[in-house]
Amino acid sequence: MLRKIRTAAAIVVFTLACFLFVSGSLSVYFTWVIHAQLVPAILSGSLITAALLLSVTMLFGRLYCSVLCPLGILQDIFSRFGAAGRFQYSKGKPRMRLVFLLIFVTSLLAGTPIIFNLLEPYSAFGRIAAAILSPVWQLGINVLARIAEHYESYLVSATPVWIKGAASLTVALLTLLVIGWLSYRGGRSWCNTVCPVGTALGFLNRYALIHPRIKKADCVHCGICAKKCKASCIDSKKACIDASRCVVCLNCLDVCPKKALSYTVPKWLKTPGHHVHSTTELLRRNFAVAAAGTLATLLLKPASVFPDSGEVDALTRKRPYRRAVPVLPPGAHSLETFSDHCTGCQLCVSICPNQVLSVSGQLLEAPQPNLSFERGYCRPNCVDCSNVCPTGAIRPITLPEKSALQIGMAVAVPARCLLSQGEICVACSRNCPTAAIEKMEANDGKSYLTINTEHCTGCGACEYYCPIRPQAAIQVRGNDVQRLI
Amino acid sequence: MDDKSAKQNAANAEAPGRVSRRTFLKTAGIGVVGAAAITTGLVKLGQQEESDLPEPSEVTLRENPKNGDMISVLGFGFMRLPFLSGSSGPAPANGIIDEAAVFRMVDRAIESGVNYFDTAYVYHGGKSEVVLARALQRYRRDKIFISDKMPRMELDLAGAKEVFQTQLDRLQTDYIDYYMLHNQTTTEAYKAMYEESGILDYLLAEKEAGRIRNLGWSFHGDKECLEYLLSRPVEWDMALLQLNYHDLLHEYQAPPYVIARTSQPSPPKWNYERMMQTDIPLFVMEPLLGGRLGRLSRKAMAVLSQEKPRDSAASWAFRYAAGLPHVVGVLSGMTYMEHLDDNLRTFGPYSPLSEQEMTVLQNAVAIFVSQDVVRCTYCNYCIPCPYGIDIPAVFAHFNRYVDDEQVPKGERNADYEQARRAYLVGYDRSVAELSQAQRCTGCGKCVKLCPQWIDIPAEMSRLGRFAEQLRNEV
Repeated sequence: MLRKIRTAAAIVVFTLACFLFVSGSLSVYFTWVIHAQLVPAILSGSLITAALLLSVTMLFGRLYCSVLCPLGILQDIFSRFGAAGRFQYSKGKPRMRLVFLLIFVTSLLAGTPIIFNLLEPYSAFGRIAAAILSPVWQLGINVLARIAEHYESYLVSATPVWIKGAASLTVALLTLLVIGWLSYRGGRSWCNTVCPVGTALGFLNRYALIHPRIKKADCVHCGICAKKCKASCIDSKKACIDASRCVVCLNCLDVCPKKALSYTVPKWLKTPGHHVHSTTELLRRNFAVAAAGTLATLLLKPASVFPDSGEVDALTRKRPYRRAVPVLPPGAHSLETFSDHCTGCQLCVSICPNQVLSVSGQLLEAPQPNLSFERGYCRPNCVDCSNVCPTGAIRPITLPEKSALQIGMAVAVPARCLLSQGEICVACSRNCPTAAIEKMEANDGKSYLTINTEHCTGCGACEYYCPIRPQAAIQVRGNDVQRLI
Repeated sequence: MDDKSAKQNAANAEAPGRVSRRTFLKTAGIGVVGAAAITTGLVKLGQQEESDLPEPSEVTLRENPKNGDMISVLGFGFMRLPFLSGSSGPAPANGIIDEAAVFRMVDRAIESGVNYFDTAYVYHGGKSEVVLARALQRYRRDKIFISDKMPRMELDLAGAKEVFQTQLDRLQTDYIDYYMLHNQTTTEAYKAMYEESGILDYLLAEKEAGRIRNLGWSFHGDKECLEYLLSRPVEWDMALLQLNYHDLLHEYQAPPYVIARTSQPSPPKWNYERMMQTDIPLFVMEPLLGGRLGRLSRKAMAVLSQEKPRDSAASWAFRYAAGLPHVVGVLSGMTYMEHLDDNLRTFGPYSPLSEQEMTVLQNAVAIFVSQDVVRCTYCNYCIPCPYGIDIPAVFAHFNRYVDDEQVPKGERNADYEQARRAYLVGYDRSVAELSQAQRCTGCGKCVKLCPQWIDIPAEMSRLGRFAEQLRNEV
């Protein structure tokens, strides 16, 4: 019964988290899932949440890892197809765990985001959801839309499939590969060797009030529970549980033929045995589906992945490039404060309705997003990313603040600009939301753009609408520090 | 041995959760191919920004004729440091300085050859000196020139000694390169503070002892005071003056009411011409008139842009100030990296205004001063107002609408309704309800404090009435 409740809760959390990343809905019914994540809560300074999570752990054990952590649940899904039921006890690697925890904390304090970004579990999940799950979801929507179109229904409309940059895809795929592989063959071995949250909570778990215990008198050392333990923490020979690694999944409780394992009151334990299928076949099929999906995506939308696909120039998107100074999401203050807080979970990237946030071409740095204007610009009527950021890296701002917040400034490149070549163009000046751009005829007989730095907010409308390719003739440079103008 | 390893293999293959070699190679192969495919994509994405914005070279250095110091023409002023809240402009003494941002700016400035840093005891409530010391920690002291100032407070000799020692402690240094008597205004004040108390003799003794390398003053006062300073038998090594094209290219007449309430203002142009008769090296403060000339107005800016489409308004002001004879260095109170970058483009290297450019600048000034702007530089000397009016914010709001030609005019105008709404909403946003101009009592306390000689109560009444008028129209 307890196990079923745990499973049901985990399914709800995981579905909500996935839905949040693929749908971009900002309803509080979804967002509580991310506000309950431990590291983001600490980073954003919501200490009440953090204290609550820690005290729950002290009371009921590492439930967090089984129920609230989406990456943990993802691993459970993998191990269900893999080693489930064939786990074996292992000795744990306390020293390695401590080393990883130390590395994590040091990188947080020293401000080297690439390390703590990769280790933080919620963000690792976020990157997978944003880079892999989201395009697959969009593809599914498009298939539905095709069907709806065929029957002249307007129920579902097509959305463009967007693979958010090769860098984020690479990072997500590698994470998925490592996590997937480890959990497929060994259950929660990531959580109990690498994950810093797992190590920290595991330490508390040793002192938790309630956690699974073995009644030594009843134990016959049959080892059935150990086979079920995805954390590999039950030593059936000695009839003891390594509490620092137990994630309180409660899978062991039901299977003990002697009812020697208990979580609370042993009387509760009545077990409907459950059917485990052989799943190699299933996995193979799933993998084939996923591969086909990815391949189809690449074929359907070649422009987004292969920039030189020989289409008409004006109809290709501009190419992302590395800015002289990156433009950060409004509310991030400065690169320094931003990279100290952002765990690279990609939630803002997923929910950005204007598709300006991405992790473009910066694989060697952290998977932390910045703005790029190939698919839209940062519209003045939106502060979604600042509302959703769980770590406080993008601090909450209001719409009036946003309208006066300068995140960067446009810089014209006369060498590429049509005006300076005597052509007519109004693309940037007409579309500037603050009317900061003007065309001006200079004394040298040529026309130039003048940009009013008191009015320019760095929203990128000019760059987005500029007809010049592959890089626009007017480009936004991020401000060192964002400020109200 | 073979037998043993075969057994081992068999064991491996059997053990649950172990990887067979075949599976391992397969997985690894897929990984390598995938990574290679993605990396080729990455190379394409890793493009750099291509801009034709000129990259600045080293900042021009100038020799101080008095002592041979090679000083960067651009000096870094530490009076307008950025705050963590993200607010801009000269700020309250209790704000938290964004030190990380300051360090980034100082690093880039020094890297580009800036070597003159100006601070004062009173800037940012004393934090300016502390932050400057921290920012300069990693650099050799003998490659840097620090200028600091004795505050204009009621001090006796002991108090002055304590202040000077505090400054050395805050700056973590044994000597100050350029030391000034801050903000000289009237002869009486100068006599009382420096001559009668013996503070001047003390500072001269410190100079003898090498703890002050150069002694001078900064000036905001009247004609008599300047004459008096120059007539003293003291060898002044430097002077810091407010010099900018706005004040030098056009004469401003303060309203009679203001003149009556304060001492006779001495026009900057007169000051400069008087200093030209001496051989005291000059340093320039307020080259942008408190940032005002960095914004300018739309009409005036259009004139400048026509001549130099890519140059900022600020660059004109700096090039003008640095081109004045006797000037060694020009101070800029840079708040943001973008200010610094713009200045580095202006001074790396520095080129004086050509004759043609000087004419253009004169035209722009003529247009600028003919507009209805309040000549406020937002220096904040007038606040706190006893009735809580945010005087600089009121002026800033109005000036912004004048600069952009957005002041609502004429009810029959097609855009009138929109302009009116924009003006009022903007007013409420930038000035809190209880700090707006309508609440001015006209007490006149601010008039004495304004270094720009603005008739503040009159302007408050004008702008307050204007806002009320707009509000009352339906």
